[in-house]
Amino acid sequence: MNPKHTPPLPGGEYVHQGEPVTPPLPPGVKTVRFSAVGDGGPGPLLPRVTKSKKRKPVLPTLDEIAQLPRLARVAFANRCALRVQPLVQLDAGAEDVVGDAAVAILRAATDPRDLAHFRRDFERLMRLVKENGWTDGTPVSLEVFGPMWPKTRVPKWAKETNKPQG
Amino acid sequence: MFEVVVFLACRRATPEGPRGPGATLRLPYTLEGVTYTFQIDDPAAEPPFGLDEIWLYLRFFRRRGTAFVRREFGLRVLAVNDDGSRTLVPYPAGSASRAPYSLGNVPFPAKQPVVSWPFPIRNLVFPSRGQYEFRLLVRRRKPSWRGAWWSYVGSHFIALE
Repeated sequence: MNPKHTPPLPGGEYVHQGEPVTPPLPPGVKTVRFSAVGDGGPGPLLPRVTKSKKRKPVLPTLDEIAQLPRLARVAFANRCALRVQPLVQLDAGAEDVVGDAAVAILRAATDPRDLAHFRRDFERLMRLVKENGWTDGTPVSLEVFGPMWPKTRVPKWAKETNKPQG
Repeated sequence: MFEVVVFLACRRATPEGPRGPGATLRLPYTLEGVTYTFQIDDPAAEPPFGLDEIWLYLRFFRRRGTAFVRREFGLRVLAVNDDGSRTLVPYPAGSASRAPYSLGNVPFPAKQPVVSWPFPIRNLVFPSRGQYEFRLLVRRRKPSWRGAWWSYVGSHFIALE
C-alpha cells in the first residue's frame, strides 16, 4: 500500500471518531461470538487485489481485422501499406498486409516497438467504428488515423533522406 | 490526495489516554485482537453467522494539499471463492443493493496530514466460513461536479474459521 515510503507532510495527527450507521440484523440470523486466533498456520495465498491487465498481441489478428466493416478494412490495409512505403511497396489488397508490413519493419528497424503503431491504428479504427456505428458501406478516409508517426518518434528508416538513389 | 498506509481488522479498538478538550482529536487507540484469522467460538454454529461487531482501523497519510477537505468512504464486503473470484456479501444484511455501504464523511483537517480512523462494522452477516475481503472505496467527484463515482482505495482480508 505504501511502496514509496515517503513521509506525510509536516504537521500533526487527527483521529476521526465517527462511526458508520449500524444497520439492523435481519430476523432469524444468530449472532455468534468470535475470537482472534492469530496469523499462523498454513493457508492459501491471498488472491490478487487488482485485476491483471489483459495484454493483446502486438499485431491485430486476422480475426480481429475481420470484425471491421469492409471499407474500414480497406482503409486499415492502405494505412499499413503506406506506413512501410519507405521500405517496400505492398499491395494493399493482399490477404495479410499487416503481417507483410510487420516483416518489412522487422527487417529494417532497430526497435521492434515500431510495430505497436499497427495495434494503435487498429484500436483507433475499432473505437471509431463502435462510436459512430460505421457499416460496410461507410466510406473511411485515411485521415481518421491522424499523423503516421509521433513527431518525436519517427523511426530512422521512415525519415525522408536526400541521399542520391542508384 | 491521501494514501492508506494502514488498513486492518481487529476484534476491538479501545481509546486510551487522557480525555478532555482537544485531547480527543489525537486520542490513541489500543487495538485488540489484530489478526488475519478469526474463529467462531461455537464450532457447532451453523451459517449464516451474524457478527456483533468487528473493527477496522485506517490510517491515512496526506501527500499533498493542505486545505480542509472531507471525503466520503464506502465499504464492500466480498466473499473470496476457491477460484479467487468474489461474491458480494450484502451489507446491510439482506439488502439487494450492490452499491457500497457508505461509512460517512471523514474530515482531513488542515495541517494534520496523519488521519487515523478506527470504526466498528456492526451486524455483518457472513454466509459461511472462509476468506473475506473488506474493500474500501472513496467517492470521487468528476471535475465538472456533475456526478460522482466510487473509486478503489484498498483492501484487507480476513479468514473466518
